[in-house]
This record gives sequence, structure tokens and C-alpha cells, in this order.
Amino acid sequence: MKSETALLGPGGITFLGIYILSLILIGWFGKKARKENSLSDFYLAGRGMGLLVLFLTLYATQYSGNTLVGFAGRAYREGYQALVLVTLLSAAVGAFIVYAPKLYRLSKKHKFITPADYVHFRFKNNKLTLFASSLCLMALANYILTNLKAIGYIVVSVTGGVVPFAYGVIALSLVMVIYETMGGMRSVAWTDSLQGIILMIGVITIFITIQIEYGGFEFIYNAIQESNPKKFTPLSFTQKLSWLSTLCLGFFGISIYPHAVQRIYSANNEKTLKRSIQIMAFMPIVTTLFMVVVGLTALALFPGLDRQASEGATLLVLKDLSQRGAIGTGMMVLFLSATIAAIMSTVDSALLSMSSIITKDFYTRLRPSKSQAELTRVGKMISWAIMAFSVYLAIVLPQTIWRLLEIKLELLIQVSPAIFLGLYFKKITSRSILWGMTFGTLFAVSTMVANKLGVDIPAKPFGVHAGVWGLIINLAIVFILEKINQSKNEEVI
Amino acid sequence: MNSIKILIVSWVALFLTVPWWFNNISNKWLNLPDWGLYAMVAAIIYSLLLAIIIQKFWEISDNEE
Repeated sequence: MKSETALLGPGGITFLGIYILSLILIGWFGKKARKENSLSDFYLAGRGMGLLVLFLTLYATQYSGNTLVGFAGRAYREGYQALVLVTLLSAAVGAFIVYAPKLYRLSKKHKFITPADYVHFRFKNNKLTLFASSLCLMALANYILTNLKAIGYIVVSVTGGVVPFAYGVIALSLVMVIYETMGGMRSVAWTDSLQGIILMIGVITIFITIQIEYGGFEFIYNAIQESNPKKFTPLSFTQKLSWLSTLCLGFFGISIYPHAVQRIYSANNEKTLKRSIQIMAFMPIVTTLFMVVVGLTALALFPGLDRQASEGATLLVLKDLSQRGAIGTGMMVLFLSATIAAIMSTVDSALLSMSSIITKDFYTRLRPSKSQAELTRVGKMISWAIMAFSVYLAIVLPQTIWRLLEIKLELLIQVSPAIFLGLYFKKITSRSILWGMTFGTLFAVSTMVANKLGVDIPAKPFGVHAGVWGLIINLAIVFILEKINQSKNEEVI
Repeated sequence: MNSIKILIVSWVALFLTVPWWFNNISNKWLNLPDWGLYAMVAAIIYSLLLAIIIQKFWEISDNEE
């Protein structure tokens, strides 16, 4: 019973179904490999991840469905300006180099599980720790919800609507939460490894096919020059500032996503971490850049699409390649598997991270006497509760609220001074970090919310993201309060 | 090189990846607009720079070896 608009036939859908169900088997192997019933084993795979698994889980987690679908759509709309996305992901790796070595050593010595464990260790301020945890939770929740929605749309596209949106979201969420609660980080990392390999092969294959079939950059240039010559115009000064501001979001925001920080904690040794991050430095070139080229190819092939239609740029190119006979069902299955893999690997990691933050940063403060086994059990229950609630919201949330869920990095970036300054400036106090975080968050959120609700306030005043303005305010407050603190101390002396 | 210096080098390099120097007219270089080619090459060089920094300046702590 294949629908006319379905991207795959029954054979392709069956293969995809088997692949998705095989993730549960991997999750079961993760459970069998468990060494102890503790939070460290469940949430950080016993801090024993080797090079290949660590690299692949970092890769699969960092590159979400947004990379495969959203980035190509953005390249379609913005043209060559979307090349900023390549450096955006590289900037996150640049930030890892700054903070990961020291944070890793501290995490190993003091047994950190969540990013807020470090914040609490460094500043010993409950309000600051809970505030940082809350910002992390909000960013992760938004991340999960938007990715669940994306997965629902992909299921509808793949099956031509035979499987409705809600059923698709429920079924795939169920698979994710089952393998996640079976083996925790070990299961998630192992499934991420498989998903990372599929993702990489999918992206590289579609890029090469495009080069062979259409003629690469020459075809893109000539076609866009004919249909959209404005896309070649060099950037205005405000657009250049916006470019720099985007890099700022990557450096101070993407790099401190809690699931990324927890992968740093999970490395079996520092050498493994170093090598994994070194390989990650090249991934924006073979993933983001390739997907930007896919978006530009779609712009060259199908000019004039509106915003919503442009989000399907990747699928349009795939369909065109299929009609030309350049790719068969196998490649279509491969790419759709890669897209679903990219989304699932991001959602499962964010889910695990949320569960760890609620269990470790909130629940253990209320029930400090609970054993590790009990806490792990509670963590699993929390995972199910989060997933159930997320699925419900993904299905019923009205469109006006969805616009607010785009606020992720703007929140997370406000936590970065606690990590970057905390690691390298010994005298910095919790008070200044807390006030900076509070005002930075208030500014970023109020600006973004007002903009999303239609108030005449730009989301990027002078081309700079509200979150980056928030970070500037955040840092300015930290600096001023530290100066006041310093002069008070000098007076006392 | 300590972490603060790495942070500064990284940000100087990131700043240079922005196509600041291109205004008004776009020329075709290697089938790309000149500023697009600049941004792409700068992104690749930034990735290489990161890999070199990691190789040369990330020293594994003594406890690890």
C-alpha cells in the first residue's frame, strides 16, 4: 500500500524499520556490558570510551537532523552566506581545545557527571548551580522537541502519510527511550557509532553524486547567476557582524551543550579525548560544507521556493537524482537512514543528558541518602517521563509556541562564563558569575521572546544575536562586580 | 602555548574567517564568488589550524602517561 508521494516503497520502509529495531539490540548489548549499577556507569559509560566510539558519538551528537535538512534549507535561502555554518561547527571544536583538557582532568579527579557538577565544584553556590542546570535543561528540552517534530515529518515523507505524524513520533521515541534506558550512555554511544557511520557515508555519497551528476560548483554558479544574481552580492557590514556573531554562538554555545560536555567526561583517557577532538576539527568540512553544497544545488535546480518548501531542499535534490536514474532505492534508503540516524543520535544524547541533570543536580539534593543503584533507577524513570512529555508536546503544541523553542543557544551561551572564566581565573567569585548569568539571560530571553511574539524588536540588534548581546552584558557585569570586589578587598587590607 | 593564548589565537583566526575585505562587487574565482571562496578556504584553514594546535600544544597530563 504505497502512497503516490512516499519516498520509499515497501522494501525500503521494511529495511529502514529493521535498521531502527536493530538499535534496540545494540541497546541490549550496552546493558550486558554494564560494569556496575552506578550513575557514572549509566550516564558516562563508566568513563571508559575508546577513540572510535568517542569520536563517532561526538560526531553523531553534534550533527543533528538540522545539519542534513535545516542547513541545506538555509543554504537554499541565503546562498553562499550559509558557508558561515561550516565555521560555526569548527568554532565549537576551537572551544573544546580551550576548556576540554582542564575540565577532563578535573572531571576524572572529582567524578563529575553533569556540567553543573563542575560549576558547583568551582563556585560552591547552590543558586548558581541550579540556575546553570536549569538553563541547560531548557536548551536540551527545546532541542529534543524540535528534533522530535522533524522526525515526525520525515516519517510522513518516507511513508507518504501512510504512517501519520503522531504515530511516527511515538514509535521512534519509544525505540530511543528503550535502548537508552537499557544501557544508558554505553547504549547511546554504541548506537551513535552506527548512526555516525551511516550519517558520514550518506553525506559523502550524496555530495559525490551531485558533483558527478550536475557538474558541481560550475553548474551551481551559472544557474544561480541566471536565477538569483543577488546571492553573489558581498555581505554588508551588518551581515558581516552577524557572521561573527554566529561564530560566537558556536564557540560559546554549541561547545557547551551538556551532552557534548558529558562525552568529554566519558573518555577513557586524555589521549583518546585529544585524538577524537582532533578528528572532529575536520568534520565540518566533510559534513556541513557538503550539506551547504546540497542546498546550493537545490537553489540552482529549483529557484523560487518559499521558506517552508526550501526546508525540503535536500529531499528535492534526492528526488531529482532518483528521477534522473542517478541514484537507486538503495541510496535513497541510505540517505533517509542517515537523516533519521542524525536526529535519533541527537535526541537520545539530549534525553540522557536531561535525565542526568534532573537526577544528579536536582533529585540528589532532595534525597542525598539514596544509593547509586536507586539513583540510576530514578534516572531511568525520569528518561521515560521526559520522553512521554516531549512526545505529547511535539504532537499538540501550537505553532506560536514552536517559535519560542528556537531559543536554545541564546540560553546556553550564558552558562559559558562559568566554565571558561571559572577554569582559568582563580579569583573570580560566584556572586559576579551569578549576576552576570541572570542579566545576560534576562536580556537575551526578553529580546528573543518579544521578537517572536511580534513586538517591533529585532532578534539581532545591529546584526548581533540577542544571545551574544546577552553574553556581552553577562561578561560586563562579571567584570564590573569583580573590579568592585577587588577595590573593596584592597580597602580592607 | 597556554589556554589563554590558544583562546586568543583561535579568536583571531575566527575573526579572519569572516569575509571582511569584500565589498560592492563580486568576482568569479574557481566557480565561486570571491568572498564565498575566501570563506570556504578560511574555514578549511581554520580546521587545519585547530588540528595543528591540538597536535603541538595539547600536552597530555603526567597522570595519564
